[in-house]
Order: sequence, then C-alpha cells, then structure tokens
Amino acid sequence: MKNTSIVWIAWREFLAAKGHGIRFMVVMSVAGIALGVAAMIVVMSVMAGFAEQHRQSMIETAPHLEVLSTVQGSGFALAEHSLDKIQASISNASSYTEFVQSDLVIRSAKKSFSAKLYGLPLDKHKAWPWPFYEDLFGGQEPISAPLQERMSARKTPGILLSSRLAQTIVVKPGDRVSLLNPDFGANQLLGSGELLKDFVVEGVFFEPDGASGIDPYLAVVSIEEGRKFLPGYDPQLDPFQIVSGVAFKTSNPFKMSWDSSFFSESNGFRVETWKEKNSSILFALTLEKYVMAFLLFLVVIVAAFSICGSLIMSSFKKRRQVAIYRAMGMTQSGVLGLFLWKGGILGAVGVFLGASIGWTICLIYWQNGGTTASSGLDVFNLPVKFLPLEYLVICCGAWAMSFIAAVLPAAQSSRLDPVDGLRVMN
Amino acid sequence: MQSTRDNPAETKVDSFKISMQEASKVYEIHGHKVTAVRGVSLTVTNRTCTAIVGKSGSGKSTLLHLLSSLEKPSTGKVSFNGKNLTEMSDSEIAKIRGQRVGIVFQMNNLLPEFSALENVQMPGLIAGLSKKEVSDRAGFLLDKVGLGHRVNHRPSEMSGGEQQRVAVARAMVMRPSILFADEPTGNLDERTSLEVQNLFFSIVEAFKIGLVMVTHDSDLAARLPSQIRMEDGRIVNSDGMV
Repeated sequence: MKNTSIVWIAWREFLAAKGHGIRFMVVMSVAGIALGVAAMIVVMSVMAGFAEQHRQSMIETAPHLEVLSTVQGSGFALAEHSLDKIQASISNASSYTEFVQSDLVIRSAKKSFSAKLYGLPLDKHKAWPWPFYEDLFGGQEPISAPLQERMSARKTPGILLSSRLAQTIVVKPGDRVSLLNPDFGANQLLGSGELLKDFVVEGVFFEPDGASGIDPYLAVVSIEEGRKFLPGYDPQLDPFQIVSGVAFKTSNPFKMSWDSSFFSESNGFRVETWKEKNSSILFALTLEKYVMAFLLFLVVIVAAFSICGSLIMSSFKKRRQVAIYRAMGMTQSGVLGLFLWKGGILGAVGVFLGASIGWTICLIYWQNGGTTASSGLDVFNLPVKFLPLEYLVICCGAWAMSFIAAVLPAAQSSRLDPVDGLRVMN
Repeated sequence: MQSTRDNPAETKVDSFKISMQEASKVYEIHGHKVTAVRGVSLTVTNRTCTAIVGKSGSGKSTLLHLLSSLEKPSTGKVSFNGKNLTEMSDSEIAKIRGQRVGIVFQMNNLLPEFSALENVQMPGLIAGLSKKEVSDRAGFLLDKVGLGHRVNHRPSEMSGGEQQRVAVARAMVMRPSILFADEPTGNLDERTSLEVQNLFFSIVEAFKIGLVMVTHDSDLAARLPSQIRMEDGRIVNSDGMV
C-alpha cells in the first residue's frame, strides 16, 4: 500500500471525524497542539527579543573590551605601555579611552550613599564607551570647554552624577557633594591621597535604557581627580599616568581579536570582553529561554495525551471500519500506518495552526517595535526576535509527539481481528 | 446495464481454487467453546456458483469467512491455490483478500466518510494501484451497477439497494476470481432485493467469476446452480458441488 494512499485515507477520516464525541476530542487535540506550539513560539521569540535588547544595551552602553591589570582592583602605568601601542594590539578597535574606577561613598548635605566613581579624560568624551555625557542637560552638547574647565578646577572641581544617584542623595546641579574614600590607607595619611574631597555637581545624566552591567549609582570626574581615589595613590606617580584600564569600542563586538602575546600575564595585562563581563546574565537569559520552552512543551505533551485518547476512542468506535479495511486487503502494517498518520495529521494541523498563530503574534509585536525598560511593562508591545531554526525544532518536536501519541492506538487497531470488527457491524 | 466505456475492470482469467480439508472453527465465548464449523471439506473455484443455506447459527457465515480468508481454521486446512492459509504471512493473506476475492456484506458495509466513488476506489488504493487506474476502474464499475450519476454521493445519501450496488462494485474493483456475499439482500425489500440479485448474476456472468453466496432466501438460492446446506456446523447436503 502506498504511503500517499494511507495519508489520503487518514486525511479524509480526519475531515469527516464525527460521532461519539470524536469530533470534540479531535478539536481539543488540535487546539492543544496549536496552543502549545503558539505559546512556545511566542515565548521563545519574546525571550530572545529581551535577550537581544539586553545584548544590544550591553554593546551600546558599555565597552566591548577592556584592557585591565592582571591584579584585580589595581591599575597599570600608561608611561610603560603607551595607549597607541595598546590600541594597535586590538584588531578592530573603533574608539577607546583610558579610565580609572573606584568605589566610594558620596555625601550630600542630606544623605550619604555608595557610588562607583569613574575618572575619565574630559577632552576625549566622544570616545567614552559609556554614554555618561548623553542627555546631560537635556541632550545639549554637554561637555563643553567651560564645563571641562570647571570640572578640572583645582579647589572645588566639578562632578557629573547619574540621575539615580542625584535623586538618592537629593542634589541638583550647583550643589556641593563630598567624596569619601573608604580604601584610604594609613600610609596615605602622610601623602596627598584624598580621604575626603568636595565637588560641585555640574551635571546629571540619565542612565541608558535597560543598561545592564552598569551600576546606576555613578559619578564621573576628570581622570586626574579620579586617580586621587585609587587605592595607594601617590602624587609622585602622576607622571606614570596610572589607569585602571583602557576601554574599547570595536567595529564588530561579536568578532574581536587581540594580540594575546602583548596582553599576556607577563606584561601585567588581562583582557575582559563584554561577553565575559556579562556572562552570568547572558547565560541566565539563555537558560531561562530554554527552560521556559521545556515547560511549555508540557502543553504539547498534554495535547499528545489528548491525541492518544481520541485515537483510542476512534480505534474502539471504528472497529467495524478497520475490519472493512482489513477485508479489503489492508495489512496489519497498513492499519498501523493509517492510525499513525491519523495522529500525524492531527499534529500537523495543530502545528500549522499553532505556528501561524505564534508567527502572527510575533509579527504584531515586531511591528509594534517592542517595549523598552523605561516604558514599563506592556504585554501588547514586547520585543521579539524571529528564530526560524527554533521554530522548526518546535514544530518538528510537536509533530513527532503526535506520531508518538498514535503508537498505542495504532498498535491496538492493527491487532484487530477483521471478523471481530465485522461482528460489531453486524 | 450497458456501458459505453471499455472494461478496465476485466477479470483475471487464471484459475483460482480454494480447498478446505476437515476445517473446523471453534470460538471461545465467555469461557465456553463454541464450534461454528465442524470438519468441513469443500472446494471452490473461480467457476463455482453456489449458495450456502441453513438456519441461523448453522455456521454459514463462518464458512464464508474461512473461504474468503477472513478467518483461519482452528483445525484442518484451508488452502488457496495450494498454499495453506495458516502458513501465510499477513501480507499474503491481505493480497488474497484484496485481489483474489471480493466480499459483499449484509449491511452497513460502506465507509461512511467516503463517497461512492472513493468507496469503490478503496481496495485499489489499498493494493497500491495508481489513482488514475483505480478511478477508471471505479467509474466503469459504478456505471456498470447503474450508479454512474451518484459517484460523489455518500452512503448516507443513498438507499439500501444503492449501497449494496456500490458494495458490489467495490468488491469487483480488484478483478477478483470469486465473489463472496454474506446475505447481500437480507436487509432489502422484495423489489430492491430482486434488483440486487440480478446485479449479482449479471456481474458474475459478465466477468466470468465464481460466486459463493450465503442466504436465507430459498428463491435466491434456487437461482444458483448448486447449494450447500449447513446444519450445526456441518455440510449436510451439497448439491452439485465438487
């Protein structure tokens, strides 16, 4: 018997399914598969969309690659390894900047709070990989020459605060704040390291939407002022231009390469990419996506039980029909194939409907453009990423489940003695 | 029943012989053994035309099931062209059922989901013939049984007589050597019954095949050249049989 004939018979029986609640069971089975497939497609697409948004945010709002000292929390001297040499060792660097970074306490007249301090070269603000200057003072060109001058003032230099930090310690531009260095050691008491220093708030910047991996409580000062808060700071080392690291943006953050012999442990360097820095969250996002997919696959499994139930019901109610097929020369394997295809057709219709529904919902989300972290949760407007390969796996998996669900009723029907079935008829 | 078409359902001309030797069939019903056929020996060929008659429960239908390969004997032997049924594989038995014998049942024997044409096509599709070939054969046979105008009608849209005509066409589509019929007119009124009887005889005559018909109807049985009378699972009289 040709497979096409078996599929045709199964298809015709599917279309004509009725009586004894069989149609209801068939509709429920198809609906179950469709629901499971649609839910899996939508959830996986939305989760991939969120992951993509996070990834994009990581790429846009943070360095793609940082050259750091091999000693955690320490720095290195640019006098020993020039910036040009470091930059030349990164293959596709598009912009870069040196920086210092430390954790400290910021105090206003009303409140104290911990913050992450960045010291950055003000004249290179357009090369900063962090968007600390964007949206400063309503989006105008922020770090103008007068602002640079004020921020570098010898007596009371200027400081830029993230809006979250400014709100927390209740300050606005023009107010004074003090930075307190908790790492200030006894050996620095004799030197010129800063335990406590006053700054004037020169600007407030807004944290980028959904920026991950960036502490929202940020303060930015000139690199010279920032250096004074490094652990073990000694002004005599200023000519060596100590930095915490050099941050790079690259032309392709997914394909970065560097001279590993230059950035070796012996030279005191280590390289950290944005992927390594965010490995936990990237892993969590991927894991979450697949765990959700697995859990939603349970819907398909439940639907497969429904297929199994409806086919068992059908095999019992249609013993007469099976007997007629057998009397007309259908083999046991033909009956087996027929029932497997009945399950397969239920699954295929469910998969087709589910994939269409899922795809349509994703398309609507995609046309809406997707929400962002700042716009709040909007279930009708979510980010999506189309995943053709995953869709194929979902559809094939659901379809395979419907075949598997048909194995038991198919085996049961194929064992039917035709005369027993004919007795039901007569 | 005249047809303007060529005869795509022309019957095989090779000989076909079914032999039963001391065949018995025992069923176990609720723990009790019931013997439906007891030690029957019989030969049927593609030239045989016979009626199996007897009271209800005498074993007529079981004998027909054994002869048409629907059942295997509990003891004894049933062979098809010399090959023992009990030693045949499922696919060999399916080939006999599908291609060497045609079976018409008493009632409700059509597939309700399918049209008349599709019902007639079904054995051909099961046998793996091409869609075109089975369509040609089915169309010809439906014309032959006078239902060429009702090919797209479903069984539920047809009368009992029309359903039996479709069943006859279906039984003939694989050009069988012997047609088996289990009380084919049992559920029909007198006029329709006569029409269906005439159809059987004209088909058998036209295609030159054997006919084995189980019937209660003594008038119908009398129209066949030989009769087998059964009582209590045994043949008590075989008139004109080999």
